[in-house]
Order: sequence, then C-alpha cells, then structure tokens
Amino acid sequence: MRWLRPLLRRSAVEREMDAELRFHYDRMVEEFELRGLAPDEARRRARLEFGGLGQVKDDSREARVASRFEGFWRGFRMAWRALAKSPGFTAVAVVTLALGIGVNTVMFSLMDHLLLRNLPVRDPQRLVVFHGNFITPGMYRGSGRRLSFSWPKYIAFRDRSTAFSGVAARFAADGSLEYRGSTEKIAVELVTGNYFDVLGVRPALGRVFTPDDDRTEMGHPLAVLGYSYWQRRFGGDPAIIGQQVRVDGMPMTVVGVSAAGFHSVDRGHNEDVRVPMTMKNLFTPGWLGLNSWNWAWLNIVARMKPGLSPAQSQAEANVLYRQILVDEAAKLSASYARRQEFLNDRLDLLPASGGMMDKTGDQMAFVAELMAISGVVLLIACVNLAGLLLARTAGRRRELAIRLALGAGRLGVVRLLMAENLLLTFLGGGVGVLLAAAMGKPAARLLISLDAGQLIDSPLDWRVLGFGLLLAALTALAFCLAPAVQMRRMQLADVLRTESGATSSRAHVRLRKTMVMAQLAFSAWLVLGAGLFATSLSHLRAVDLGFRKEHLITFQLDPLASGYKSQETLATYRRVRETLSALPGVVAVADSDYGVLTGGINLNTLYIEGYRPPPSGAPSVRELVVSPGYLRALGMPLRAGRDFTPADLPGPNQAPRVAMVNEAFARQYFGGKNPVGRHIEWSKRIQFEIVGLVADQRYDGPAEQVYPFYYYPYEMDEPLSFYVRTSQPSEALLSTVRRALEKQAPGVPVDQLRTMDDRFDETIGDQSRIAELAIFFGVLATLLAAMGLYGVMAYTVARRTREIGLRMALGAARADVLGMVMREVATVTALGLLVGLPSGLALTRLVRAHLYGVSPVDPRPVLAAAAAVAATALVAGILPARRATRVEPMRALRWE
Amino acid sequence: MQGSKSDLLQGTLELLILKAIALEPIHGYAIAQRIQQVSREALQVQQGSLYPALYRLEERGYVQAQWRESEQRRMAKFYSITKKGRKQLDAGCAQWERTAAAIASVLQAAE
Repeated sequence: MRWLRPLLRRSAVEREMDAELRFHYDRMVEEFELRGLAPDEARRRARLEFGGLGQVKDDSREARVASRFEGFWRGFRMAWRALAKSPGFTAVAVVTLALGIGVNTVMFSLMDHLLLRNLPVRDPQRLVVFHGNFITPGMYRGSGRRLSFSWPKYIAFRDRSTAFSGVAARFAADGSLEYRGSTEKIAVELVTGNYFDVLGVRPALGRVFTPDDDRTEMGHPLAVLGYSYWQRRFGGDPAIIGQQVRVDGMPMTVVGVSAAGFHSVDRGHNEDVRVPMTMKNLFTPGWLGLNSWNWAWLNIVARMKPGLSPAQSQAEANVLYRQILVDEAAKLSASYARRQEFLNDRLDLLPASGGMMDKTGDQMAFVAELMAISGVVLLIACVNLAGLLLARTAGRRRELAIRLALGAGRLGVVRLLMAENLLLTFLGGGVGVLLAAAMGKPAARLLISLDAGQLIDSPLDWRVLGFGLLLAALTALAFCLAPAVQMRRMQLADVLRTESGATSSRAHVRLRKTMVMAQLAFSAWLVLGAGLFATSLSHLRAVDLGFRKEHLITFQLDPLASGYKSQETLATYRRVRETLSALPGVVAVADSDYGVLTGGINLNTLYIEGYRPPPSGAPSVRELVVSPGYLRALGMPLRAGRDFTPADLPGPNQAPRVAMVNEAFARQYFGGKNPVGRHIEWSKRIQFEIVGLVADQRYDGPAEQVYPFYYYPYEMDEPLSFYVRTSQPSEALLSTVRRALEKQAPGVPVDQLRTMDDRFDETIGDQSRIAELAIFFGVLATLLAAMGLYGVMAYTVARRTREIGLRMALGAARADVLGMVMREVATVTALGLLVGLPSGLALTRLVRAHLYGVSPVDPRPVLAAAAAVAATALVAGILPARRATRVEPMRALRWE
Repeated sequence: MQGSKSDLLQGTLELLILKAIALEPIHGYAIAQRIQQVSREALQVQQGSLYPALYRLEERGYVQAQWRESEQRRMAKFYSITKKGRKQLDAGCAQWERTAAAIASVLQAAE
C-alpha cells in the first residue's frame, strides 16, 4: 500500500520532501563556505544554483505515481474555482446534462419495473410458467390462452410431477371489497393453497395461505391483502388482521398481508386481494366448471427441483403431459378431427423469474421507443455540452497558454480540464438523478397507466441509481478524453502569438461546425419521429369507428360482484336504464355484455343460412348481446332493416329470436347481399332471424381490423357496459350519472365512468404519449441545435470581422456579406439534414409497426421535418449574419 | 557547463544515478557530487532533475530510500539500489555501450 501513503498522509510526504531538499540546500551552502565564500554569499549562490524550490518540488511530485491522485484533488479544487468563475456556463452545462441523464434514468426505471426486474421472491430463476400450444376453450384473463390450463391438468401436475418441488396455480378475477360501508372494485387473484410457498413470498404481517386453507369448496372465506392495497385502503393499519371484510358480498377474514414489493406473477399487474382457489365460484358465477378437463383457465407456476436444468425439467414435465393428453384423448369424440394435433401438443416451460410475460410484446416496443427517444435526447445533450466546452476552451486559450508558459506542464493543463469536465458531469448526473427521483412517480403515471404507475413504490433504488451513475460515468469518460485531444493540437507559441488566423482556430471552427451538424442531424431524427407519430395519431383520430364517440358516456356495472343475486341484478339494470333515460339532457341509454374499446369479446359458433362452412367446421363469429336502442345510443348507422325494439326482448327462459349483423358479416357470409330476412342458428332449436344490417364497428379501437359481428337482444344478469347518449357535451353529466347510479345500485362500484372521448384517448394513449414526447423532445433538440449553430456563427463572424471589413472596404455590399454568412449556415444545415433525414428514416423503420396509416414513402413528414429544422437553423444563423453586415470597415481594419 | 544538463539524454541521468548508488547507499546531494566528481565536472546534475528522477526510480522499484544519520550527524535520505535496479543498471550499461560504440563508429567514418 506504499502508493496510498502519499495520498493519506500528504503533509508527511511533503514534510519529508522539504527535509530532503533542505538538506541538499544546506550542504550546498556548506560547500560554498568551504570554498571560502562569506556565509551570505554562499547562501545566495546556493539559492541561485538550486533553482526555484517550488518548481523542484512540483516536478518531484509529478514523478510520483500517487501524485496522480493527489493532483486530482488539487485539480478538483482548482476546477471548482474555475467553474464558479463562470456560473452561467456551469448552470447551462449542468442543466443540459441533468436533463439528459434525468430523462434516461426515469425511462430506465420504467423499463426496469416493466421488463427487467425479477420477482421479489426466493430464487426467482427456478420459477417457470407453463405454456402449451394447442388451443382449448376456456376463460382467458389477460394472461393469454396458451398460458391457461384446466384444473384437472393442474392437479395431475401437482400430484404426479417429478420435475418440480412445487406446482401452484392462479386465476385473476374482478371483485369488490366492502369495509365499513364503502365498496370498492378490486383485483382478486384466486390462488392455490401452496401458491405463496411455491413462489417463496412471505407475509409482511399475519400469515399467508397454506394447503390447509384450500381444501373444501367454498369452505375458506379468507383473504390475504396485497401490500400496496393494504397501504392504500387501510393506511397500513396492522389491526386489520383478523377483521372481516365483505368480498363480493361474502364475509371474509383477513389473515395476512403479503410481502412488500410483491405485486403479481403477471408482470405489470398488481393484485389487491388473494383468496383461496376453492372460493372460485364466488367470482365466476357464469361458469362453475372447476372440474371440466377441457376448460382452460388457470395459469400454472412451478418451481423446478434443485439440481434439474430447465431442459431436464421440461423433458420430465412433457412425459407426464403426454400421459395426461393420452388419458384425455380417450374422452374426445371419435370423430374429432384434430385428435393427432391434440396428442402432439408439447409443454414449454417459460422462465418466470420476472413473472409471466403477457402482452410484453407491446409493452416492450413502447418502452423501447421511449428509451430510444430519451437516448437521442442524451446524445444531443452530450453534443451540445461538447460544443459548449469547446467554446469555453477556445475562450480560455490565452489563460491556458499562460498556465503552460508558467510551467504548469501540458499534463497539468489537461488534468485541470479533465477535472472540470468530470466535476460538471457528476454535478449534472447528480442533479439528473435527483430529478429522476422527483419526477419518477409522476412520470410513470403520465407515461404508463395509473395501475402500473402504482407498481413503482420507490422510483430511486440502487439499480436506477446505478444506471444514472453509469450514464454519468460514460459521459464523463467521453468528455475527459476531449481536452487531451484538444491540448495535443494546441501549440503554445501559436496561441501566445495571436488569436486570429491561427490554423488551430480554423480546425476549431470546423470541429464545432461538425458538432452542430451532428446536433441538427439528431434533431432531424426526433422531429421526423415526432412528425410520423403525430401523423399516425391524426390518422387514428380520423378513423371512422362506426359509431359517434362524441356526446357519449360509458361505464360498467357488475352487481354480482357485490353479492347481488340474479333477479336483483336484472331489476337493478332495469332501474338504471329507466332512471338514466329520464335524466335531462340524456337522449338514449343502452348496454351490451362487452364494452367497446375495453377489450374482451365472445365468439360463438354459427350456422348460417345459405353459407357452406369450410371442412374445418362452422365459423366462430363475434357476438354482442345488447339492449334495444343500442344503435341509437351509440349512433351506429343502420344500413337496412330495423333496430331492435323492446318487443324483441325474449321473456324469462325464452331464447332470443332476432339478430342484426354488420356489413363485414354480410360481405363474408352472404356475398355482400342484403341479409335481412335470412337466418342464423346456434342449433336446430335456437334460430335467429336477421332483422337489421348495421355499419361496421371498430370495436377494439381505430388501429384494429373490422370483424364480422352479430348482435342479439337479451336481458343479461352479467357485468354490463352502459352507453348514455347526451344532447350536450357529456362531461357536464358525469357527476349526475354517478349520483343516479349510487342511488339505484347501492354498494355496486361504478367502474370506468367516463366520456367515450376519454375512453378513446386511453385506447390510443401509448401513441399519443409517444407523439407528445417526440414533439416535446424534438422542439427541445432543435432549440439546442439552434443555440449551437448561433454560437458557432457568432464566433466565426467575430473571428472574421477584419476580413469582412476589408471586403466591405473593397466594395462588397451588405447583401454580399449577408449572403456569405448565410451560405455557411445553409451548408451546415443542409449537411445536417442530409445526414439526419435518411438515417432517421432508416431508424423509424423500427417503429413502423406502431405507426398507423403512415406510408413509408409519404414525403410529407420528411419535408415537414426538413422545413422545421431548416427554418429554426436559418433564424439562428440570421442574427450573427446581420451583425456581420453592420461591421464598420474603418473600425474593423483598425481593430487589432 | 550549464548546457550539459539539458543535453543529458532522457534515461541517461537515471543510469548515472543507479551507477552512483550501486557501491553503497548515499543521499541525494552525494549522488550529485559523485556524478560531478567522477565525470571531472563535465556532468552537472541539477536538483530540478535529480529529485524527480530519484522519485521515479523509487516508484519503479529500482531504488529504495531510508532516513539515516549522515556524516554530518544530520538526518538524510539515503538511496540504495535494489536487485531490480541492478538488473536495470546492467542492461542500461550494455545498451549505452552499444549506442556509444555505434555513434563513435559513425562519427569516425564521417571523418
């Protein structure tokens, strides 16, 4: 640790050096005295010969390895003083960097939470989730059908599998929770008794479930609260343990709270309350098929046995899976066409260390786009800062040259510059990370849905902090090398001789122009991206959805989830329809079993009159169960026939008799002919007469396809989506509607009550947020680039004042001078665009999948981006150019 | 005389220092004296070069230093050569002789 010594005990080393040099000096004095000089004279000679003591000490220090570190501390103090001397520059540089690093840190924190982070459980690497390839019927909640399996399959794996130390299953459902008179909609997760044990999630309070809590059907009214729900709803009150709450109307005892930070095995989701799987029928009144072997609804999560590789586990699991399939195939009807396909299915074990990957394809692309945009922002911030630093170094050439001349040593000057840059970067990085900490949560809420925003409890953990610091370090590295390169070019004599006309100065301008060019190119990327996203967004907004979304309110009700019985539910729905229709300003009220723009739809197998189905079987068609007046409420055009009337509603225990179909249906199954009067059937007993033809509805959102649909009227006792058509802007009626609902359906949470315009904005939320961000950063980038360009041109004009004066003295008109400067501006801008636009176009190819209705050859966004960047650049350039035209020839020539 | 300092080739000074301390540990002043005497005043080592060179050598592990009482009964820092330094000295001497011989033969041929 010898090298550390000088660092730790600096003064001791200094003293030692002093003593050694002092000894040397004294000996010299003695020597001169021996030669017969008077003591005074001897000392004078010795001093003369010894040279500057300070210089000797400096050089000696430099010779030490440790002086590198020591010099840095000294350097930092000097750097601090130097930066403090130009607070304007320092502020701009720190803010620029803080923006770049802060934005990226926030994005990283989002990505980390959505995509990267492991589940906070024991040994997450050993967790797998089951994935099959054969599609069976069932109930798929968010997690996708290939991740869903039947209860008997789960039991087989739980009891017979040799590959796993534990196999658990879960199903996500909606529910409601009532506590002390207030009811709230909650996300429920039905879990098997071993769920917490298999995952390795501990209780934060109380206990979690054990297999004993999951034995008899409907026999375990117990609940484990999610940590964040416990915080939110019960204020983190530990007294809730042992208390009763009503979940879907049923009293249940809260036994515990699960560990903080554990949200869900379904990535990006957050479950509020967990309930034993045996309580399933409470949450799925529409289907009770716990034991049906061909009804897939459970996600299976398993922990691999220690010592087994994933490949081995998968092989073993497939042996058992094959046996299960063979057993099940025996129950298939003999004529089943896909028997072989059914038997050939294979199980894949997907790694679940971060949870199940559901729609992550979408999320991944969205987050990747955000990261890309913020990455470009950092790039621009860096280039901008580099330009600033370059300008600052140029402004300090004399100071630096004097330092050199005074014997600072080239290394010393480089070190000083490096220390300054390092200090700047870390100041910027620090402020950036703080910014990220402050902005993380609001930004997350803004950028992703509120739901997922809740997942981020601590925006600033060590990973995010580490990322921010890493970014700062990388930036620092780049900027620390810059002065070394610059100083190699700097010729002391050149600088001291004269400021203007030196060759290095021209190189300097060229370098700065290159940087401005790069900045313009980068801003062209962002502006181009902004243009594309904005075009895509305006296309999305302009799409005809097949219904009028203006002046429309929508909400969902689920009285069953609050413990209402079937008859109560039907009565409640009738009251709601009547009350809302009677409200002033309401034109029409209707409902359907699934909601427009909310996701989810039923498909039903239809036999269609006059249509010969392909050999694979009768087609599955999208089905909506609606109330009479659906067309009027949604504003859907009727193309032929008539709308449903109340008389069309079948009575209790009667089958529906009439249906409407959309144009896509008519095109596909009736060859485009008018289908009114034709028939469709579910079975020989249940037939519909088609009474109306309606326009196509883009049910899932503007970017989705149009599908064949059929509608029939029925009074459903299931969760319903309601539509309220109003005669005036509908925001004003939202609170009236809510009050009416609270009165007519007490204890039933009103879900997603909002205007259809808002619902639509949520549907295209990702696109509009990306577009807004791209526009914001595009403007920011262009302004930064414009500032850079202004700086360079102002410098060039100042440097060439004499030349310009000379030209004017020789008869050049002001217009010529203006043209001369603007030509340079135009060249830089054109080069920037020439580089930026093609590369930007190539890059936007990556996000094409997310652009709606934007043709790859559409020149308009490109031209718009070019025009925007060029216009800003020219404005930035015109100021220095005008200054050039105001040069007085006489004064310019006298100058210097 | 003043010129001989700056004309000293880089690396040569270090070689001279190693040679000067190869016999016995001596302090910085004595090193300068010895080089001066042995070269019959032809080479004069300036403090400004001597000490940085000594520290460099120390950092590289060619010499080691120790505070001891000098002949004048004052504490002084004595430098002695290490094994590594001795190797370096031998290699440096051989190199120097080759270079000197080569330069000499070139200069003689030129006459």
